[in-house]
Amino acid sequence: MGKVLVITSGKGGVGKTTTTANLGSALALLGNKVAVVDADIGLRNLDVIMGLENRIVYDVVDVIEGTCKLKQALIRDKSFDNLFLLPAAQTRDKNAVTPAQMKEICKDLEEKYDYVLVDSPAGIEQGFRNAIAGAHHAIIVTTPEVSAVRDADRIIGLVEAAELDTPMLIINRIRPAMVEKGDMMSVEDVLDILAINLLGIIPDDEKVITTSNRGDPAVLDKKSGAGQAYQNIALRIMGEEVPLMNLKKKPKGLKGIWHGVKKTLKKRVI
Amino acid sequence: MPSIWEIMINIFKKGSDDADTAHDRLKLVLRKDRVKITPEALEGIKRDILKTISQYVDIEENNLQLDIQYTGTDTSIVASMPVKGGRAEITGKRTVATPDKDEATAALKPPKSPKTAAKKPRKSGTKKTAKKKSTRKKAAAQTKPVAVKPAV
Repeated sequence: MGKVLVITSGKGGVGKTTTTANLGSALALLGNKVAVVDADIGLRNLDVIMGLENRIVYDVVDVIEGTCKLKQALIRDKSFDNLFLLPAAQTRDKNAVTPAQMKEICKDLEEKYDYVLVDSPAGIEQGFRNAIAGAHHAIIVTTPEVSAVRDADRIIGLVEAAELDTPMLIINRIRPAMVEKGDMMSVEDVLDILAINLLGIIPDDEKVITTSNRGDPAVLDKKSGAGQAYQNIALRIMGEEVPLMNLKKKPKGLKGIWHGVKKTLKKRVI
Repeated sequence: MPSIWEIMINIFKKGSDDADTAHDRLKLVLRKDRVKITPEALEGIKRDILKTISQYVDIEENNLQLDIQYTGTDTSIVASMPVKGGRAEITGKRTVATPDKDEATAALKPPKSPKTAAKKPRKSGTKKTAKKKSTRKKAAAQTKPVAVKPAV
């Protein structure tokens, strides 16, 4: 029996789909059999992020309506043999699926896969309720911005009310230099407000954009900080203890020396 | 003119406090988001408070105010009820005989015993506050990442 995890956030554009695709890839890279489900009916995107948009024949609504079997709708990933995508329908709306039907699909999938990741749409309506219906755990994605954190708080409340297991938090798009200067909320600031367990932190990384342009996972890019962070999170999902990524880069050369002097003086003066 | 000391501090201190501003604003907005009291419930509380308090003191029923206040780290429901005529002495004894009789019957009885009415006036607008606990437990927060137990 596998585990069903829903990736959700409340606010749109914080990185749910990227997180789903990369966690799926990372879990597959680590040898698990993984299925990712796009629950954003009418606004599907997981397929393009994974570069599988041209391989779609059937979608989740076809499975529900009995047009095809679940197995026929699942698309094998191009990078990993043990990763499969169940795409959302693009021409239907979210009311084409009910939470009970979604639960049924998740149940079928968890029998055959180690991990099932459900990519939830933004918002708190039917699409969100569908996405959480069959999930055991919820992964809440947020960024260190007031609007995203506020929505995350609302979602945590709803997920707890739906009696899913303790939700876990991923803080995405952290810019260490800004945090250092006091221009962006730190991991501690966000945790102080949301008071839930931290699953991982992802640095803001241009590689996420370039890899998604090609439809490749960032996990396979060794130079991508975000890719490495996703791998760490995948390990934690598998039950391993991995320390949080150190996002602070030490400046080199003259700048580094100045930085050191400033730091020592700061400690002495103030 | 800033002193040399201030200039020094400005050079070496952290860039800005925007992050703190965001943090503080969020904290307040979420405390408001997390309190869910329907207008009906608020009316109900008002009615019940009125019923209880008026057994002891004669208060201006129409001026009873119930507010949710967010101060410091506390969220409180604050009731403000002006005392009629600014006169009251709270002795612990009920001035209305039976507590459970409805307001119609209670109104027929004399609101105060003659003794209490004659005594010194007190400040009007007696405040009673009741703290409301934050809706979510704080204990769960950790800076360390958590590992999910593998499925059985």
